[in-house]
Amino acid sequence: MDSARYAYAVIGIALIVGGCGGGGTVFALKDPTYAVKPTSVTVITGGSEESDLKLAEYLTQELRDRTQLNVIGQEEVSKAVASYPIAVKTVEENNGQVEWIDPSEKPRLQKIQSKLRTNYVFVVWSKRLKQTSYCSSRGGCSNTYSADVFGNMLEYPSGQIVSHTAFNRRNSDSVLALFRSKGYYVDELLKKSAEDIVDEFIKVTNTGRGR
Amino acid sequence: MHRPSVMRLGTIIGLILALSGCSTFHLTQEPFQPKGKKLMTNDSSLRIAKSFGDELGKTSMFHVLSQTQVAQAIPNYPQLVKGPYKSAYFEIDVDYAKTDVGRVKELQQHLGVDYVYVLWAPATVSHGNSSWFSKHYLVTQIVAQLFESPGGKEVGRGQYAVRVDDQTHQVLSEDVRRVALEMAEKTHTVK
Repeated sequence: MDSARYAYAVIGIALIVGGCGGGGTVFALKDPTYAVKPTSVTVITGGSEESDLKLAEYLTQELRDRTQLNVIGQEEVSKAVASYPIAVKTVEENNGQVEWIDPSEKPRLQKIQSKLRTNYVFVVWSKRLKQTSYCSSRGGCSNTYSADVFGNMLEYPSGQIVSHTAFNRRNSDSVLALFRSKGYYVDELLKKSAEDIVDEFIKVTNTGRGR
Repeated sequence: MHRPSVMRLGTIIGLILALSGCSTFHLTQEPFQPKGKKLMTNDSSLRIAKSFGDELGKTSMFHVLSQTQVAQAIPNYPQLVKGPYKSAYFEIDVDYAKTDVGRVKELQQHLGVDYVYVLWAPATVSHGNSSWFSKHYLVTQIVAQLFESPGGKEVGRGQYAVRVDDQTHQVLSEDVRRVALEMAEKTHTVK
């Protein structure tokens, strides 16, 4: 089995047995006893495609609206990091570990963190965007869109990975698709993914905004 | 009972049209009279930019800057330039008014070339499953604009898709070659 297939198999198993409903781990601490401090966080996209950028944007907004952390906006990240968005390499073989960030990328992330000066950097990827079409024998077709969402949050100044995310999300269109903008259902999928991450983030870290 | 196969056929035909049948480049300013010094560069997805640059160099009389030269001329290359689309997942919802032309002009100043071909590759996606009869490819959606220097006037544009090997992540050179050839033909610069 080549390394890419091995990696997919490992990630697939992680998605299946990851512990959360809906196929994977939405957000979990690497060390369950670790306490996330309600300080500051920057969301960084690990890819440069539209779905990566949108996911980072939605996650930034959700964290900002619903947690006590000070969240740096994507525009500020772009201003501070001239080459943003950057493609952050992911590990191909991780032997069941949950650190998706290739260790060779840590110095680059450290540089970004030094410009943004937040206590946490949350790297997210949206991978393997897929469309599957199905037409029933009674007539009518529908499309299902799916994406794999990955994430790792690093703590600074240690640069250690403290959390992991790996799940698959799907969304199907309906007859209303005729009246929707192009990309509507994928946008919804990404928004829902960001919402789910923050739901779990708040549960795990207890950093939700008080009512 | 035959609808699924009709759908598959429709999808295949759609892909064939996207990949081979439709125009991949058209001029927005005609007649196009190529300038003497013809250099070009791309932005965004480097792999596709490099492949396209190589093919255009072979097919046309354009003298194409290599990606290494582009990276030397533009600090922090590649940079994010706002592209001509509202959304870009399985298809690109194109809106050419959304391009950050100001940023393109800045890049032109760094490069000192006659033309800048900016390509955006905002989505690489997969459609359905592979079968026993066909190899499965990922598809990268691309939208591109050709700008003239100085001034940054748009003189051509294109929207197309290229296949990407899902194992090696290499762009299929035949797809890129077809796009480069069409651009060379329409700009009257075929070698």
